[in-house]
Parts: sequence; structure tokens; C-alpha cells
Amino acid sequence: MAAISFEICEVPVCFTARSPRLLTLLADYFRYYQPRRESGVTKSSSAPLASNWTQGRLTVELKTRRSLPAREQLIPRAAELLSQTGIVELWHEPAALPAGERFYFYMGTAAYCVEPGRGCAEGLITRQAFVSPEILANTYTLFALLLLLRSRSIYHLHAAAVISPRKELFLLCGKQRSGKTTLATALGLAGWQPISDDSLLLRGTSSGAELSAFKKSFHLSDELLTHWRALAQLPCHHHYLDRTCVAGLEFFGTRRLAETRFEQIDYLIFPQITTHPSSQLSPLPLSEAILKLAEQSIFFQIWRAHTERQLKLLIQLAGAARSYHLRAGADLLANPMRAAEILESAVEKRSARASPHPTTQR
Amino acid sequence: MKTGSNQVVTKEQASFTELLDHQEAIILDLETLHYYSLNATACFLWKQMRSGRRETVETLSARLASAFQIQAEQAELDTRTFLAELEQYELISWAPLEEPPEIIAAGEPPCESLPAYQPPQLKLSSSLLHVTLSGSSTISAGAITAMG
Repeated sequence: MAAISFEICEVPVCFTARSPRLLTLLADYFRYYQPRRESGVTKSSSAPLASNWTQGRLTVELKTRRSLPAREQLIPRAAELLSQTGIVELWHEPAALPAGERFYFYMGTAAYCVEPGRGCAEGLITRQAFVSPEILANTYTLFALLLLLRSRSIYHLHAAAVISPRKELFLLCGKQRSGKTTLATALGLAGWQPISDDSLLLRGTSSGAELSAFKKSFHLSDELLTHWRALAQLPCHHHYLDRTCVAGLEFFGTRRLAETRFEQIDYLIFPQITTHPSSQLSPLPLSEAILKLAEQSIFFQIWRAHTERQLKLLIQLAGAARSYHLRAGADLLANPMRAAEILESAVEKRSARASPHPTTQR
Repeated sequence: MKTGSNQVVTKEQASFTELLDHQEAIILDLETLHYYSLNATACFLWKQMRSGRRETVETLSARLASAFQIQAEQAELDTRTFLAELEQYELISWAPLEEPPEIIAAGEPPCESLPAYQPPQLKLSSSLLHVTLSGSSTISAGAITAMG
């Protein structure tokens, strides 16, 4: 069996598959982590149950199938439905087996069984799943990996991250379609430095907490690409639904910056696309902002010890941040430079009250 | 509402984290996965309850009046309202007071790091009860609360 392997936040990760097409797709998706090709890899299911969840590499074994078995055949009766988002179902089977607890993702064209105790997952991928390769990698496969990473105390945050000209870290937070990518792109066009348009990783360190970009393509709406001519030079990868995957880190020259580990968040911005003629920035209580950010963390609720730990890490990172709600109006969509002007006004107000603390980086 | 013969006991599973500027805090109830944001006054009262001392309605009211330099009547009214709210959310319970609580001296100096007084405020959020996948809205099952 062939494989690709790489490290995320110093945790070794390995994807195995017989399908060269699948491995090529994943090697491209994780290209910023410099995946290495391996051959002759043994099956992950023989891995012993880890005595604790902090050892060994994470392995995801992928198998291609013509079609998926019925859900009832894949998911045991003892499992409980935890969540359903569109076609994605997440099921949990309590730890009755020697292998420990299991999680099942069932997506219609792909299914995954995740065993955090063994640090492994197995995925069944149908031909139909290859119709949207970006969804196969960025949603289906990523969910299984993020759940395994969570068991190793590496937590996902659904937010964009941009560095201001003053070297302050701005997180752009909110649900899908709230405007994170739009705002990150607008700021990038104004000379700021976007390092992620929707995904970050959070973890504890011996000295506190650190945040880094989850390095991948940016997913821009086709509307934005048409609207802002300056984006015409963007190298495009895939297209799915109404989104285009672009090489944002290369375009904005932030590939090296995306390696940075941050120990402090300076601003939390919650954008909302509106039809108002002018954009408006208004303060948001920090505790509300942190909870809204926590809401956007995938699997935040799974495993109480991790839930508590993640919240404390978030507060450690963002406890001195300023938080704002940005109602993005027609002025911002007409002129991407407007985004930077609006956010700079918040920085100026803060500077007028107290000297800004520099963003701590490592 | 209990009186001076009972001491307040905070819920063990209530994980409290104060924000860095001491103006706000968050309580995460690890049993229910409900989250609460607290203003500075609520944060002050919660910390008194978690101080390890025996606290009653009367001692908490006295500490509030002293720290924020407000009238004793207002402090007691606001403390009782706040404790009733905490009790409603099962974040506190009451236990018989076996020994008398510490007497709070009137006219203690105010705490300088505290902001201007506002009645204690507790804001409930149950939105985190739902498992989030990729930032989308979700349907959650009650099963999540039973997970370890």
C-alpha cells in the first residue's frame, strides 16, 4: 500500500491508499506540509491501543469502493447520532470495545470510522466522491483528521487570520458565508497579510497557548473573483459549487508568514455581509466574542477535558483582544481598500486609549 | 432564597475563567455544556464564593457593598437577585452553615482595580451544545451531554 506522510503541529500524520489518484489529491491538498511519498506501508488497524492519546502517528487508511454499504451496515446499533450538517452525519459509539470509542462520519458518497484511542481512521470513498475532489479532501477527509488531532490536544478554529501592517494579529470569525474570506481578501489587496481564509490550529505549549494557520488553498467565491479585477492573476486550483480554490498564500506572499506561531490574538472581528450602503464597525463584549469563536470550533463539545482545555487556551490567547462586529456594506464590496480603512480606525481608537501591545510571535 | 443560616456552594463542574482585564469572565458548566458570560460584578461575587471561605447572602452582600462602595440595601438586593439566577441555572446550591461566617467590617476600603458598579449580570449561551462541523449550523442529539 502507498502512503503520504507529513507533520501537523509536530504530530506525524499518514494517509494510506491503493488509489494513486486519491494520494495525488491529498498530496496536493496538504502540499504546504511537504508530504513525503512512502510505499509498502502496513495496515493501521494492527496498531495497539495507545496507553495515552499523545503517542504515535495518526493514520488514515482510505479504500475506494463502487458504492457505500447502507448506513445500517456500517454504523452499529449502539452508536448515537451526535450531529447532522447537510449530508454529513456524525455518530458516536461508546467505548464498549477493546479498541475504545469510535466515531463514524457518513456522507452518502464517503464514510469514515475514527478510532481516537488507536490514532487511526478508515475511510471508504466512492467514485462519486471524486466528482468534487476539494470537498472530498477539505470536508470529508479533513473531518476525520481534525477529530484525530483533537484527541492529541490540537484544536481547530474556524476563522481567517490576517496580519496588519503594525504586525497585529486579526482573526476574522463567523459562520460560513459571513464574509471571512471576502474580508481577508480585501485586506490582502490593501497590503495586509492573510495567512488563512478559514482555518487555524490551536494548541497548548509549556509556556501557554499558540495559534497557527492551517495551511491550505483559499476558497474564493466566483462572484468575488469577477468583482475585484485585482484577483485576475490568482493561480486557481479546483472549482466546486460556486467557489474557486486559489493559491492565496502565494498570491499574497505569505507562505513563510503562515509558518508563524502566535501567542496572542490582538483583534477578533465578526464580519457580516449586508446590503447597507456603508460599512459599520461596532464593539462587541470580549466574552461574547470568545464564545462566538468557540461556537465555530469544530468538535468543541467532544471530550469534556478537551472542551475545558480549549476554552482556557482560547481565553489565554484572546483575553486581551479587542472585539468588533463589522457590518460589511456595499462600499466595501465596491472597493476592497475600504476594509483596511475601517479596521485601521479601530486600531487608532485603541492606540488613543493605550499603547498597543506588540503581537508575540515565535 | 436562603438566608444567613445557609452557606452557598458553587457547582464543582462549573469551570470559571476570568478574562485578562478582570472586567469579564466565562463559566463553562461541564455537566450541561452551557456557557455563561459574567460582567465584572458577577465575576467579583463568583470569586468570593470560590474563595474557600464560608459565604452567605449576608457576607456576600457586605463584600459587594464594601468593594464597590455602594449602599448596603442595594448590595443585598442585587446579591439576592444574582444568587437566585445562579440557583435557577443550578450553578450553586445551599448547605447548612455549621460555623459562623467571617464578620465583614463596615467601611473597608474599596477595591481599586474594579470598574464602576453595575448590577451583576449573567448571560446564558446554550449554542455550544450543538456539535459544529465546518462552521455550519447543526442538529445536535442530547447524546452529546452524556459524553465524557
